[in-house]
Amino acid sequence: MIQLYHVYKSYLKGVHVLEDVSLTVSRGEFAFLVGPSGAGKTTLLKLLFSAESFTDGQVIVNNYNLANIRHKNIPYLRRSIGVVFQDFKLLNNRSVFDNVAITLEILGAGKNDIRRRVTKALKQVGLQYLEDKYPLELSGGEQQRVAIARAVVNNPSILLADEPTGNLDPDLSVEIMNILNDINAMGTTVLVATHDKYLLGKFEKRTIMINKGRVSEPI
Amino acid sequence: MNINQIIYFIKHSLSNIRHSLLVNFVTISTISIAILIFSSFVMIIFNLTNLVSKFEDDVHIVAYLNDDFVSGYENIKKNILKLNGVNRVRYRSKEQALAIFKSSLGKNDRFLDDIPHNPLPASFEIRLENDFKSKAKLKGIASALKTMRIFDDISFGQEWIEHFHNFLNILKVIGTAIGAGFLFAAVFIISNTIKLTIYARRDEIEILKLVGATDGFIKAPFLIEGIIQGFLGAIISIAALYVLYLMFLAKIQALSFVGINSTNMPFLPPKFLALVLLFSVLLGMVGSAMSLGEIIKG
Ligand SMILES: Nc1ncnc2c1ncn2[C@@H]1O[C@H](COP(=O)(O)OP(=O)(O)OP(=O)(O)O)[C@@H](O)[C@H]1O
Ligand SMILES: [Mg+2]
Repeated sequence: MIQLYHVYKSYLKGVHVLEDVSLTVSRGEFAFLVGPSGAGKTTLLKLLFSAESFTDGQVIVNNYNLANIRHKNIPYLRRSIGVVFQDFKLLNNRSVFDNVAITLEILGAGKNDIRRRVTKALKQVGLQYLEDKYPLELSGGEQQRVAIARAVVNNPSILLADEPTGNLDPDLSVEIMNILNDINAMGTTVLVATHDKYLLGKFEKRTIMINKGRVSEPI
Repeated sequence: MNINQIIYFIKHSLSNIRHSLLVNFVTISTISIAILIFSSFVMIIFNLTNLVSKFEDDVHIVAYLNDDFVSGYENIKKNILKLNGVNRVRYRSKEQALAIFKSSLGKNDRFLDDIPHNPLPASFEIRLENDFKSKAKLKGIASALKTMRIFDDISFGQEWIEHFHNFLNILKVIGTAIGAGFLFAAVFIISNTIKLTIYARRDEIEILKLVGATDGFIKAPFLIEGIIQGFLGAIISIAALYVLYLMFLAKIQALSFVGINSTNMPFLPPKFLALVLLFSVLLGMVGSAMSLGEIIKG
């Protein structure tokens, strides 16, 4: 559950990157966040897992009120949200398996538990056979899928994906979207930031438009 | 915190050390040197304190009898025993004094034959109760002896022990200052090593934060790295100290007359070694903790 009420965000004083943003994404919903480059998509996603603060308004995510969330609670908020970053953020000195395992290691999961769940997540994104490879040995689309596996391996209730199909050819994009769709089908709330118009036509989902920091929804 | 996390922490702190072996080598060497200097002072002061307390136990008064008194020793002895704080009194005649002196000369005692009469005085060796061994009390007893007007000279070994105490105190101050200087340097170097590790791991730290690791979880491997550095540093320095100690003993035992051996100059007892180890581990933790603030930022 994601709720924003009249949210403002500026990095520099007086320049609003987000301006009076109000929106709700319900539990189990799938939504696209669409807008041109620089519209504020990444910024909006970052607010949701408390990687950026906001200037004004209210943000509520999974029962956490982010306007006054305590520093020590931020890790617990983040454990309930899987994030696929625009730049993947994989560790190049760790194998695919170990990259995905990070999400479980921080919870203190046991070795067997980690093996079982990481294997399942890699299977879900179709990468099980690459688990011993290192990120730099993979294609962009494969790295993208490792990032997705890492985001979903602990069954978060929300999945945020920032341009998960950026730089991918149309076939691969559809494949990735199918994976996200499957994850949504299992009950996870999914919010995908993209400027890929092709996808919007192919997957008929709720679309939240964002332009120069202002959101609107086609009725 | 559960066992899996502890395994994770140890695994990662060891891998941190493995990934920057040279830096860790330099750090651990610095800790070793700092702890070696520190524990050398501890050992020297420990042994000298032992030594001085042995001498203190031995503190006694010797009263040299005027040569005019040739009889009545038993009476004098009784009178001395009556003094407050006197425990035992032993009379030593002129002849006994000469015999002791002769035997201390060994083969070189010939020249004594040329001396017409025995120059050594008879004396009373006065042993005291334990709480009468301070300077003030000794002086009190000595002045009481003086009023008997039968002694030419009254000596007690207190004076130089007092000097020795002063010397020990100076040594303690110097030891503390030098030790503290090196320990400060060690903390500084540890904290910089950890800073380097944190810098090398910044991508990993960022990702750990983003997937929901707590501050404690992120910091633990670095704290453990500091603890391992402190621990290894202490082990190395204690081993080095022991080698130095054995070498010193071997050298000084060759000079047999000094009479120092492993019994009267022991190595640091286990309790002290444990304290040095604990202290060094704390040093590693503090050095590491000083750098961990950087992790919280951002
Ligand atoms: N850390 C920052 N400091 C200052 N300005 C920033 C920062 N991050 C983003 N901005 C600015 O905020 C605006 C929105 O950026 P944001 O990254 O949210 O856009 P976006 O919609 O994700 O764009 P893209 O599609 O290119 O990823 C841009 O004008 C950008 O320059
Ligand atoms: Mg972006």
